[in-house]
Amino acid sequence: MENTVTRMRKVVITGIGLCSGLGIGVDVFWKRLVGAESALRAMNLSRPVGRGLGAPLPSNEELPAMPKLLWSIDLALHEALIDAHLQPGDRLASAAAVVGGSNFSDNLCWAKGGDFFEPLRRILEEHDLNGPFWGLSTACASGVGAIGLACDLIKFEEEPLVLVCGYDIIDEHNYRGLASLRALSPDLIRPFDKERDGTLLGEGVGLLVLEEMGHASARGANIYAEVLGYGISNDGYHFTAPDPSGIGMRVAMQQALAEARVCPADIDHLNAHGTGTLHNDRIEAKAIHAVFGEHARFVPITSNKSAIGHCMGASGTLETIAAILSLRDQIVPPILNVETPDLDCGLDCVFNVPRLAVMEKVMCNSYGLWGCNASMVLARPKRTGS
Amino acid sequence: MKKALGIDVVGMGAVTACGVGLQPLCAAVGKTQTQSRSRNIENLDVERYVTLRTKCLDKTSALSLVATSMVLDEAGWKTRGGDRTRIGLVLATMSGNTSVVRAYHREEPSPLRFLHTFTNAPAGLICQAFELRGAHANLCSGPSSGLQAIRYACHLLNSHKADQMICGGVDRLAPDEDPLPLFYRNDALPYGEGAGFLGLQRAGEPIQGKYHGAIASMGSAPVNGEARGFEEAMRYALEVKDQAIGGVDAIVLATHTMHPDADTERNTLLRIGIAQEKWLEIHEVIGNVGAAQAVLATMIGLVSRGNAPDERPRNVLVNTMENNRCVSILLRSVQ
Repeated sequence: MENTVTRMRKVVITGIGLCSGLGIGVDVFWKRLVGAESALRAMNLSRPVGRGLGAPLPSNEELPAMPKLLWSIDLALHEALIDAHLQPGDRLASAAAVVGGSNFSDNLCWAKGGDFFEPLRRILEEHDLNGPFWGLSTACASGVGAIGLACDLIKFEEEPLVLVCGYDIIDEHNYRGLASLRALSPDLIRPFDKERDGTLLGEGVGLLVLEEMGHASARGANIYAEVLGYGISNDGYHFTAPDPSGIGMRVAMQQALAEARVCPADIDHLNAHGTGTLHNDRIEAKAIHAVFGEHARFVPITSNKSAIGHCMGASGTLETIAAILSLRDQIVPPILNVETPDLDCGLDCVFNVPRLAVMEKVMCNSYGLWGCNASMVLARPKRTGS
Repeated sequence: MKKALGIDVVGMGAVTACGVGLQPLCAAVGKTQTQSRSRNIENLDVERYVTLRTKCLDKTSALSLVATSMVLDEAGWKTRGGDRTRIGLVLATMSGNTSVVRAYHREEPSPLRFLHTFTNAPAGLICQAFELRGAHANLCSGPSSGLQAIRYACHLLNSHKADQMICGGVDRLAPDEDPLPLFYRNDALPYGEGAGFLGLQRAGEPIQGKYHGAIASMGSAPVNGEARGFEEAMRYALEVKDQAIGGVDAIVLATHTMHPDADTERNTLLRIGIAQEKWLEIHEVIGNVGAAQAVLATMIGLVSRGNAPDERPRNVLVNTMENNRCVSILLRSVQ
């Protein structure tokens, strides 16, 4: 069954939309990401850690009365649908399945008895998008996990088109909580730097339109990338610290490679989780070495968190969009703020300036608290004709 | 949509207000006990079932841990060690550990309590306690989450991301010292609490524990307020196994009673000839238990005799609603 299904139905990405600290919309996000710009700035916090830096969304002058979570989902949804040549309200979009991914969503509303994904469902309802809804919450691995789940809905449940929305915003609850875990840096995120001392929060929404390849081709949709495979796992070890052996991360990467039917040497670029915390980066590097062997030293690796912060439930979808654009433009955006590369990691990290690279297949990693891991392999679409 | 699933059920664990285990629940369903009984689960001794490495702060996690322990026992997967990267978990919950979230917002936050505000804290605790390192997901999609957890676990097995999957639904909607606003919603049934977990593996693979039957196939169709969608979803699930509506021995009604189309579903069953004596209603016994509802319904379906003769597998349908789409799964019960 597995062979028949996976061979018959391929999953492609035909639309993207986002809001992030780097700006609203894909174009400004990508231009600034490749341009080595950072969205980190001082936030207005009641009890800041260090300089109180983070990567908040820009203010939206046009929608001042609307909660940030709602307008950001709304704008990303519109951008992705238009990009995929769909409209809110048309038959195909209305019937589309939706997979939400979030770590915190609107935590207080949930605690009061609301639906966990209420903000997203509210926007979907406003636009008459009333297909089946799936909500996934695996901490900061939610975004990549949600894309994986969407792939299975297309492969195993014959959904022609699935919208995937990863989102989270910074609020008092998650900021104070993560600060209490001593996970936040007092100044900058420096993934894979020897002097790294923590992460900083970002916020945003990353929205992707996933589609069965034949369906996308038949309606002439633009194909950004094919999702070849994904993996999800749990460390089963500790609520904050990753398993020191990196076994959970390794399992997720290996599942993704196996489903993609590619070997590690076929991966041309890796968009790492790279939080800038001491343990994450060291153990992620260890897991990459375990999976990729000798090839680990030759894969250009980036982490977008130094530019957009750790966007929690949105990080997976935002970073997947970055990986898709890397495939499209054959350029790897840099890891910022690095002065002393951590040579013990033994990886080919793209530090401080972007790098041109020939890429056919890329991998994305996302990890979260309570041991959650997710990885995905994407491929550049095959060009037909001249 | 119609799809073969081909998955064996090799372990079941239930914790409801009727008691720990499936037996008390089945007995209560048989008697259709009245609504006046308590929906709260009291005196649950978690430590009797599992040694915890991290303190369990909420009842949702406690219910999940006990139910998982029962599945592992019954499936013969309890032994620690070996390759635990092939055993996965898909957990579904509507309300999760919201009691911790409410306490967190009331009091000075502590790191441990903050971590337990995560929706996936119960799932994380299970993985830690039983060293489950395989495919992992935590669903929070409302009342349909339970059946989604079963389907997703089937897909993860069929894509060979895992060899053994535990999937379950857990919810705690009953009021206690800290009532949930949900309780005050205008619904005919009181809210309850409970956990229902299944142990799954691909059909045809060696069984170490107990064989309960199979999750054979699924069908789905849009309803849009019309009865036709219900009928189509059920027919699709049956067609995969060359069965007609007349071959249905029992149907477990798991569609949330708050759903506006719940009455349409019941009228459809009567119209197409699935007589009322084949219906198994669990809402009246355990109340609305959110994401646990569909999983407990599936368990009841697997052990129910229906009206079929003993010499052949019984065909049991379980229906749920996903927004405006009906999803029906076909169980082949052999007990």
